[in-house]
Amino acid sequence: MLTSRGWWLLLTALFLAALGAALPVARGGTAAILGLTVLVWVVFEWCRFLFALRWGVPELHIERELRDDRGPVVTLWSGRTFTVIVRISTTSRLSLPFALIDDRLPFGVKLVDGGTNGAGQVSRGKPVEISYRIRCRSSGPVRFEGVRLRFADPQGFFFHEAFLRRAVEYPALPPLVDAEANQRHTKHDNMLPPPGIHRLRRAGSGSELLDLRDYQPGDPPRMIAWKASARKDKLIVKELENDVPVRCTMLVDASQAVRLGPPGNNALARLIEIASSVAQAALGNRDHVGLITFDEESSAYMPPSRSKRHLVDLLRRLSEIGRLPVAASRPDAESLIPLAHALAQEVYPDLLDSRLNTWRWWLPILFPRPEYLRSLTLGDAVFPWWRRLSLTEWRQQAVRKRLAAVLTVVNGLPPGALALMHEDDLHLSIALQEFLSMHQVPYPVPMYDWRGKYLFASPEKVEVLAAALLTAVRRGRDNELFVLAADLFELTGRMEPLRRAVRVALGRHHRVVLICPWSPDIPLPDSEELEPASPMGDVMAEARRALIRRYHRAFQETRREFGRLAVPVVCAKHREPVQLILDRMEQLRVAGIRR
Amino acid sequence: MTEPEAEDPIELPGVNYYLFLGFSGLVVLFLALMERMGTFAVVPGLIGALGLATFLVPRQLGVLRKPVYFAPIIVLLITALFLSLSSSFSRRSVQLMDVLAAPALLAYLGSQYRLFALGWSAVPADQRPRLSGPGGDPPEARPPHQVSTREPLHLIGVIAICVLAGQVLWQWLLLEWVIVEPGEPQRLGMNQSPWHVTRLVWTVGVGAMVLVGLFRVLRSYRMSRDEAAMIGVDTLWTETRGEQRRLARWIAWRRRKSERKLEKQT
Repeated sequence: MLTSRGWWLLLTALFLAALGAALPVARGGTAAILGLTVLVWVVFEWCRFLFALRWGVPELHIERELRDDRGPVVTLWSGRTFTVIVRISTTSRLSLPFALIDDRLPFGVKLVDGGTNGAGQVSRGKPVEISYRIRCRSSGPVRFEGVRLRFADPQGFFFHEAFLRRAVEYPALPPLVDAEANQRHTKHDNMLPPPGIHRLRRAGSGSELLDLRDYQPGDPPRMIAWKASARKDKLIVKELENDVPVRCTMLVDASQAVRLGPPGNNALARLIEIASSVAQAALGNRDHVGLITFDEESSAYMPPSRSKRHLVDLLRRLSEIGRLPVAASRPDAESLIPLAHALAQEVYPDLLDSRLNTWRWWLPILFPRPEYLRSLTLGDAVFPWWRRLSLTEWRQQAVRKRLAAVLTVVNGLPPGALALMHEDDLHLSIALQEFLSMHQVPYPVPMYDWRGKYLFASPEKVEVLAAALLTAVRRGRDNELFVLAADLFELTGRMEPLRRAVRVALGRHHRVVLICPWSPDIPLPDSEELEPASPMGDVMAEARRALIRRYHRAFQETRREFGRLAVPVVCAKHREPVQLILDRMEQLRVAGIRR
Repeated sequence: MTEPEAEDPIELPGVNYYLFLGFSGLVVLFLALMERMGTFAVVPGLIGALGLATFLVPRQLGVLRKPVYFAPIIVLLITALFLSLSSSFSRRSVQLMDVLAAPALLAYLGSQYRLFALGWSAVPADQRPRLSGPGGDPPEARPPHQVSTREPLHLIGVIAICVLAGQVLWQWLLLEWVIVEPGEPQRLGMNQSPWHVTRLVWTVGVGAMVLVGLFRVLRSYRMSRDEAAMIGVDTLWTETRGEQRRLARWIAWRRRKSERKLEKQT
């Protein structure tokens, strides 16, 4: 609370007052009066500052408004710029001390113009306003945590930090693409059906003639082909082709495997970008687009439709999966604690206050954590008592306890959870992982277990994907296009359920395309950009070459497996997959013409 | 971070008010000391002026524009030293020069500290590591254009109240208690000086305890829901931490044992 400036003045005033009182009155009276006067001044300022703070801070309110060029918005679009206006007001009659105000910028958002900070004295009827412009880098929910306030008196003797937590999330939808630019303009046929329609060679109510047949009772008279009837001398009726809309169902992988990497720049972000572009281009063509998102456990189905409302719902669904956090089953507590502590210091400074969230310094000495609950080091074996006396251990234990208490309060956990998290690394690390993901803070995850096994292959998703594809086939009506946007490179030997489902889809005259996300820093399989062999000793370069070779081999195997089923496999490194999918839809549209 | 001001702070009226008030305080202090210390009276004035004058340095000479944070403390100590050396303080009287020295000193201190806040740092540097970077936040100044014209007037009012309260407090410390009959004052067997120190310690101590207690009550009255929940969680942990620790360690041990058994089976 007291700054160093305040401490120096207070101690000097106390010293002068004590010195003056200790000396004879005739000698020390003046010094005592000066000391007491300064002391009274400091105490007066302290009372004024603290009273205004205690009374005024609970009365503070935040209003947040996001605007674009046309007015307030409730939904953001990635790649577009928005203005954020934050207004801090109070209903208290008491003026608050001077405050430095800082709005916490969410992750995945770039500051374009203005500053997130401001300064001023908030009083009734005189709110302080901050305005700045942001751009969303990627799709996904954008979470504004609240506003950081640092209060100080005019002299700088006293200081108080508070965080007004008013968390609010805005969905950032995938970028709006130029749908017309993605439409094909090359003319394939002179008899192209209208947009959104393709001809199915089954009897229906279209406009093109399919066949002639004998009249049967109940056939409408307008279908009678009079000239043919006259030639044959019996009633002949026309059968017309069926005009059906083109349908495309995208199955987007949202498993842990594609969530790895920096949010907004991982495989999931690329899949979402492709799905969003395809959906917008297809709906611009009045084609029906559906979406299935799946992970290791379940799938969610959105049936194909072509309304604008459906497009918004589809983009919103893509946005929801866009920032799904990667979650390890056994996270590393040691690497998560510093991140979570830094976040808690920013967002929950009141809950880390040592007056509320206490810690006893002697606990690690008397009751150290047993060996079976912590990772043992060589130092433990040589100096088993070292941990009891280590300052680092004391600090870590204090941080663990305080973080465990914050997590208990924030998540509303039962009372015993604090002790369980404090003692057991597994419970603490899982809670910290959820805490960080809730606040959209990227965190490291262990990718291999102690045996060297890759932890994010997600083999369970093959069954889920196969089941989702069969569901979509079952609900499909006619020739449809199924786009599997999934990372299957780590599962090359385990794809039999998926192959069975694909065979079912192909047996029903549907088309299937497999889009695999491709890491941007790995050359494409056909590009022949493999780096030259490095001189002996450059381990990192060798490891990278091995990784590239492994990636390419996995791609070739996947392509071979699906190539037998005549399913094209495409790398999703750039925007080419979008054009490929649109081409396939175009082929579906003209399939009825090219007989 | 706060945007740097486009105009020089010296050109803003708020800063000028404080400069005027600070220099006025130093001049009065010089006059008060002049009577007793002669030429030496200029020493605190010069040191104080050095602290204030950093604001008068043009922006182009940024090297010389450094805050002299210890100037107010040195001025305070030297003034008290000079006045004590030359003091002929009457036991019950209040001398004009001493009465003038206290408000002059407060005027200088108030102005100087407010100028520090306006020019360099209103809040201390925050060295805690942030998620965005390890360096923490640099100190930030209060924007000078936010100083209203009423602020220096308020400061003068506060100075008057504090000077009065300081005199009253000193008189309270000097007060002698005669309980039964006129004679030797009751000092619990102590001499005059220790008695004054004891009374000062008691006055400051009891006053601090009362104030801290009152603010603690106010804090609990205005506490947020999360803070109240934290007190509940922390109190429960404090009172039952031994039992909770044993239970939690047993549960963790049990979990690890079952995991190892499962690993062996697989």
